[in-house]
Amino acid sequence: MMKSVSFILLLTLTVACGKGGSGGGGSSEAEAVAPSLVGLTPEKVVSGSKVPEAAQTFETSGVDLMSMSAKQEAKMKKALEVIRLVIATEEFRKKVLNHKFLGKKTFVDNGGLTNAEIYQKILEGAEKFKLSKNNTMDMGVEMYSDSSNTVGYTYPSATQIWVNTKYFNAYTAAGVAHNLMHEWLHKLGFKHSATANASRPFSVPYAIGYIMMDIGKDFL
Amino acid sequence: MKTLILSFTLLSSFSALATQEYTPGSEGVPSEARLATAHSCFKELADLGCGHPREDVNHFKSCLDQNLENLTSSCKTFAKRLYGQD
Repeated sequence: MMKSVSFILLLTLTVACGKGGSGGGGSSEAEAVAPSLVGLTPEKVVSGSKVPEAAQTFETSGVDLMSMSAKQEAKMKKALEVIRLVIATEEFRKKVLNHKFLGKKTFVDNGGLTNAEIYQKILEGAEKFKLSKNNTMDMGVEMYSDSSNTVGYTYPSATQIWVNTKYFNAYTAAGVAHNLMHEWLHKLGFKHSATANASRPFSVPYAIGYIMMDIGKDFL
Repeated sequence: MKTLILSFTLLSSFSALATQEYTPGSEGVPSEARLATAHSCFKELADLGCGHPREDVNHFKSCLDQNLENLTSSCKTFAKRLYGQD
């Protein structure tokens, strides 16, 4: 019994301290900043009537599509293109900056960040497991099949997300973009309530996922 | 016993799922009218030499700026909403 418990504890500590573990020291890579992000501040994000350059240079090329059929890959690539195109729009910037909860410009479970800081964090693309402000969405994507009402999921320490084919197959590329954005926002460190309550739709992953899907419909 | 409790606590903190649950309307299906407007406007802009934002978003936006007043009313509304042209 004690040997089993000790093994579990040792395994847990190994996971925690490994690359990508949420309790670990993070990546040892030097932090690289994409050129279009240099000088970008929340104040600059809010000012002006046009999107910052980083919104136009944002890339999804860091997404690794794992073990997919050609058809699944084609749909995923279309969804990633939707994400890139939507982030380059002024409408996306406005909707994120002006998002409200109970009449106040804020998101639920915002990690102490303002809407402008959240928008900047999206453009920076610095996932918790990578810490590099490379202006790029980086993560692995794997498919799975399940009859539950879970569209997709990830773990805090994982570098990839999992997408349920039950919904993937029925969704448009805008719907898939919605799910990818939602899970990627978890990779940036944003959370939401595990249970469905009145405020969860106003959390960063849910609310910005919806924004992505809504604007994404114009790029189908 | 303390070790057991600590193990389970640590395990649960790292195995906590972050999920998206299905909600009706999350399929991302646009109305036919919306789809038609988007396709029509992107074609109108492509015919004016603007291409499509997927090819070169900077060129597209610059071209849109120059041709905004030449667009049909519905396309102008569509483009202003997406790209915030003044």
